[in-house]
Amino acid sequence: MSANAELLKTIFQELLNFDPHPDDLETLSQMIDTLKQDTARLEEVDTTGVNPAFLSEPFAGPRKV
Amino acid sequence: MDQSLLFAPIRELAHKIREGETSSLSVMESLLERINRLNPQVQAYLTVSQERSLEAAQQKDREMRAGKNSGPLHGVPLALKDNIETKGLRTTNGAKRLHDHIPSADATIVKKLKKAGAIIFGKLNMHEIALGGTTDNPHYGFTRNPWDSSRIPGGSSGGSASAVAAGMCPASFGTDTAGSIRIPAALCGIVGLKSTLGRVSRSGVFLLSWSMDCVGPITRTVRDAALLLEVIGGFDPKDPVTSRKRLPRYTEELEAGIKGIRVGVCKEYFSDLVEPDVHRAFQGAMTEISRLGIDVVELPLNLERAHVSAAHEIILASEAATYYEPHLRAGIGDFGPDVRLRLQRGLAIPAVHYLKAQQVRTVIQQRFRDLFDQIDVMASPTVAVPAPLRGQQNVSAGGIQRSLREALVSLTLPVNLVGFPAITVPCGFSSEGLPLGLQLVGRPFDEATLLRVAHGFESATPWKDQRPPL
Repeated sequence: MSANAELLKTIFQELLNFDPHPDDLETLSQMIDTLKQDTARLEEVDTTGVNPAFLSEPFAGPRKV
Repeated sequence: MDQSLLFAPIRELAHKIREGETSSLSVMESLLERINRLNPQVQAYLTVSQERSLEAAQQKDREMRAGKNSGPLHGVPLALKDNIETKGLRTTNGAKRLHDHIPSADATIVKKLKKAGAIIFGKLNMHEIALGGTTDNPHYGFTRNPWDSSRIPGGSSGGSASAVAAGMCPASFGTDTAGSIRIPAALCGIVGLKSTLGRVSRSGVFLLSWSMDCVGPITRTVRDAALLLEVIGGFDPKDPVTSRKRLPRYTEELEAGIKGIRVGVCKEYFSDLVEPDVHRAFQGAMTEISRLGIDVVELPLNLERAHVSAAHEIILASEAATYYEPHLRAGIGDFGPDVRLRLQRGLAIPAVHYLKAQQVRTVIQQRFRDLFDQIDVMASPTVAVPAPLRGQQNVSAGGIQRSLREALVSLTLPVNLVGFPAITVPCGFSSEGLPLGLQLVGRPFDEATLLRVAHGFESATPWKDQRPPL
């Protein structure tokens, strides 16, 4: 198992109290990399002060708080 | 029964049953005969309630003879994606753990359909828990595209679209989180409507994403989609996202005229993504729409696809992982490999990133609002490619190799992210004879304008009358 997969397994177990499927660890560690890329792309968008209230009011618009 | 009725719109079926020109029993018998003949090949149905539906059809005929018409769908057989709960009728959600699940209550939309007179007789295959676009289900089999059995029907509502396209069901229902109604409808050459988030109740439906899932009809005509939305739409105290806004009579507004409506095309958002056949069909559709007296304008959306897809994926993965966490803990081995991976990935997303994605989503929605200050409807191809082959992991889209997922959902998922309504209607065929779809997007809760434009386009083109070679 690669070092990344070992690390991922530890994080899942310690932080989430969850045992990932043993067949998935290598692929999951690669998927986490794409997740990092996704979050990096989100950081490019200026959301200063935007209320993330979409769940309760989907059409309220970007009211600043 | 006249076999042409197997492909008749539900409005026509309901009319003939009402007028005594055919019977609900005759329609049901013909459908069951076709399903029994074709389903081993197409694999659209997971459950068909044969005896119970024949009894229900006889009961509907007795009621009609006694002058009791229960509504606009009296005696019309309909089938549902298998994540919509049906009292006494198995509902698997495409999941191994729910193989024998018999719900004790109907979903809200099922109650409404039954009240309008429909007979719910079957449940349709889907991608496992609706998390994927191929309908190649490891537990229940691969639903085939009726136009070419070596190709996927799209998904996740692949069984729902395949059955309607194959004449195995007059109309069906699906759910849509990234395009799961519109993608299979487009790849199978029929109509699929995702209404505004909050227009239709999700109570009694297995969810994937609280903030994006929508339930909607898959039909052969836009008029049928309008009729079914009239029946299932409206406020439901059991689904707090549903709106109290008035539910229009969509079928009555279909002919209200479309001249002067402004349709926007944001070419910069998709022109590098779509295959040449798709581009050609879309250009033809825009020419036809202009001919109908609609103003077609090109304008920028000012969005990066990477921002849209990142926000969508983080929200979907987080919400799906939250919803299915108990199932993952109870039996992780019960999920197929693709779904299992995506759910576990969702568990690893920090709350900070989820909320950032929700903020980005609000910013993206504002861009859509700004755009719709200038237009009434936005148009694009529905899917960047015609139906891919089963097992394809990558496809050529826009001249370069892309992941299957990117090619399938890139044009539909922005609409789920912002919650706006959208419809797909057939707009032509690829050089290999595979159907292609035109996606029209409307303002929130303005399905009426959307349906009018779609109906106008459909009426002026020959595509809705094409049938697969089965």
